[in-house]
Amino acid sequence: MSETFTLGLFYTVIRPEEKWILEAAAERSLTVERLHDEAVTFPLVRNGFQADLVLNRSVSHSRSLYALRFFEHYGVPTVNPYDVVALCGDKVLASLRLEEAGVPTPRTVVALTPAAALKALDEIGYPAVLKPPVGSWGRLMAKVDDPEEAEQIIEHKSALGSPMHSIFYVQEYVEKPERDLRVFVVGDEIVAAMTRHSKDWRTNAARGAVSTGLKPTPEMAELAMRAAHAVGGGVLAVDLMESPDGLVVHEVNPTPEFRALTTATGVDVAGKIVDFVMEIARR
Amino acid sequence: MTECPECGRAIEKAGLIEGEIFPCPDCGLELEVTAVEPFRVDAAPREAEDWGE
Repeated sequence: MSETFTLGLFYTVIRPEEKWILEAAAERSLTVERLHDEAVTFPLVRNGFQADLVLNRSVSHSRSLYALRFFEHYGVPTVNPYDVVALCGDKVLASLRLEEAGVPTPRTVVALTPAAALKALDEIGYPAVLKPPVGSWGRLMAKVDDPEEAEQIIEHKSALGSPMHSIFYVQEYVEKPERDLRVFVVGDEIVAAMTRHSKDWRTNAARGAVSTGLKPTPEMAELAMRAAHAVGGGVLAVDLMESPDGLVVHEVNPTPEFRALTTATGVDVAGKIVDFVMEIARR
Repeated sequence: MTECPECGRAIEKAGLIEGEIFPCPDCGLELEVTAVEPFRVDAAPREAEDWGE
């Protein structure tokens, strides 16, 4: 890595996570170029920015995809790469990849029309979970208890207008304890893990779940690492549930938040990410 | 020093950086630092449908 290495931070807003990353970069004497996703423009030929490597922290999946593809086009490595974000950001593609890699994941059926969605729900059995293929923080997810409720929810989703709301990702409802597990993977290292407790069936921190640090069991660690490698590796938060049949991976997050994890475990996750970015830059 | 655009509470710059989001201590509105010199804040961008992790 040259002494003039510049880290590009592609971001939407500066949350505690991004502030910690900036602080970790400063502690390592890295030059940081801030690339605000609302302001950057992308000509077909590289021009106007200095970054030698870009760390993606944009919260927008669409912006991330185009930007990462442009950075790669300019010959700038990115963390995570376009392929990883494209895969993990789409639940359908992620489920397919996990299945192909033999990673246990909840039973899932995808349907492309409202009528087929009802059929998919019958195939999965009630209760089931209906999720948008793209989206996070538990937004627009629905637990569906019976066919009547399914018809109403599907009608509402169809009325939202966006073609993506007419792609139906139907998943079995996993009877789990009132918690899920999050394992944070950076490269080949599991840097921290936590449980997220909630009385709501959605255990997202964004929905107020309470986070507690956790020492992952060997099984948990092995499964999280397999899931991370299956999607291409990098900086990833692997979400697992304790189903009656054992652990299942239900999501791999490609631009993970780690405020709750840092608070719950005391691990310097931002520092681990910056060290990994420097390692990638040296390759 | 500037003001919360919602409730008018005085907001100090101390420790804040451009782009940082934080809640207004009085009304709780999520604010974003849009400039440091001169110091300005505005309501933080609203969550869009494709936002997440």
